[in-house]
Order: sequence, then C-alpha cells, then structure tokens
Amino acid sequence: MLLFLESQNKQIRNEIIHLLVLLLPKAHRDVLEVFASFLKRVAQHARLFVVGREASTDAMTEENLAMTLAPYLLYPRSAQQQKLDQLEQSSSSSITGSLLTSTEAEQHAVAVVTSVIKHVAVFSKVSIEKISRPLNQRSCRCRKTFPNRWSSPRVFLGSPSRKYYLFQSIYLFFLSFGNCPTLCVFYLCALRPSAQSSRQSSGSGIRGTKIMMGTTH
Amino acid sequence: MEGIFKKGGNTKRVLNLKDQFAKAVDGSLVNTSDASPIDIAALLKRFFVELNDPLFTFALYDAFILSQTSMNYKQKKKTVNIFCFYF
Repeated sequence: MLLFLESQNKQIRNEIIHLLVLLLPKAHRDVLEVFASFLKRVAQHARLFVVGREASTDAMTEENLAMTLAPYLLYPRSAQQQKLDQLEQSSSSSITGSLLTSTEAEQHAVAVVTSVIKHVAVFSKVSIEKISRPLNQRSCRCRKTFPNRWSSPRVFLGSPSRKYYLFQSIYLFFLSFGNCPTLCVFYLCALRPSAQSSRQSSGSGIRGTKIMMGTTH
Repeated sequence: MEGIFKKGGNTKRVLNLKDQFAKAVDGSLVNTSDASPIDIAALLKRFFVELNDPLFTFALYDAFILSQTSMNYKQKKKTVNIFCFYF
C-alpha cells in the first residue's frame, strides 16, 4: 500500500514538473530539451560502463549528473552572486563539481533535475488534454487570461454551439459569487424586494380576480 | 569518461575555448578535436552559470521546489493553479 502511494506521488510530481516545464520561456524550454536528452545519453553510457565493470559510485547516472548540475541550473535569485563568485574562486582549483547538497531546497532541486533528465521524452511533448484542462475546476480563470493557450477542446474540434456559450456564461456567473461572498449577499438583498413586489402584484391580481368574481356573482 | 561534469577542468584551457567560441559568432565551427571532454563539459557548465536567467528561471524556482515538497494533492493543485494565474 505504501509503495503504491509512493508511486502515485511520484506520478503527480512528474505531472506537476511537466506543467511547470511548459510554463518556461520558449528559448529555455528548447535548450532544456536538447541538454536533457544529451544528459540522458550520457547516463546510458554510464550504465554500459557499470555493466562492463563493477558498479562504482563515480559512474554518472541520472542522479549523479543531476547532483552535479542542479546547483548550476536551478537556483534562487539570492544565490546568483554566490555562484559567480564560486566560478571566480574555483579558477585556481581543479575541482568545482564537488558541491555537496546540504539544504532541503537543494535536495529538491536535485530531484527536479533528475526527473527532468529521466523523462525528457515525455516533457518535450504536449497533450491537448493537459493544456485544455489544467488540473482544477477553477480553470476558467486561466482561460480568461490565456484564451489561446487554455481554451477548451471543443474550440479545437469545431465551433461550439450557442447552448455551450450559454452554459459557460451561467457557469462563470455563479463562479464569480464563489469568489466574493459580499457580492453574493448584495445580490440576495437586491433580489428580495423585487420578489416581494412580484408577490404583492400577484396577490393584487388574485384580489382583482376575486373582485371580478364578486362582480360577476 | 569517468566523472564527466564532476571535474572542473583546466581553467586556462576552458577560458581559451570560451574565447574561441565567442569569436565564432558568424557560424564558423570551432575545432574541439584537441580539447578534452572534461574541459568542454566545464565550459558548458560555465555557460549555464553565466546566463542572466538560469535554465529553470528565477520566476519558477519556488514552483519547482514546491513541487517536490510533500503536500497533499489538493494543495499541489492549488499552488500550480496560482502560478498559472500569475503567468
């Protein structure tokens, strides 16, 4: 059971990384695809190497490659100056790659780079389903900001019917209430007098008919 | 080659290679047959560090790190959607 949960967790993580890779600028995404597929080939050679000899810790598998490269590919803005300084300092020494990953964030960064290297072939492709339904039911917000990118699959397949537009507008209408409860209360207050007035009018109508009935009798 | 990308390479040779690549803007090829693979790997690493914005951009750094922390599914959905909204 635990194993199953772990594997599911991994799948979800990979899916999230896939979506995040799609959010990268195009130049970065292209370079990432080329570079990661190159690293994957390097890792394959490491496997051959390991088969030939005894398994050594020095063999550059995906994990080891990620461990050496993650500090150079995925780091926060605060660490930029530090990296540049490191480059300058390391000009005298011969080894730069032995950066031990200490903090939790760096370990996470290594995990991200590892999964990117392992699944380049998947991450460089896009399925329409993934774009059209970004994870949650609140996705219409994204659709508003990115009409082309997040549009529904119906738009791709053919022109949507008028009924669909009506449905969507009603859906958006109700969703807006979910976002601001004060507006909802205001709306209810505004509705109530009109409902009362309609009831009054209907009552008067009934009275009127009664009167009419009385007159006829 | 054992430990490619792990070793830093000779800095002099790496800087020399960098100059050659910088000069070859007009599409001419650089002869790297003499250079050792470790130097070329070091140059590649240097290139990625000297980018203004790293390969996984600054803007998405938090998102990438958050994706690995152990949250439940709904929280993850929420965070990714927030990022979708911002971009």
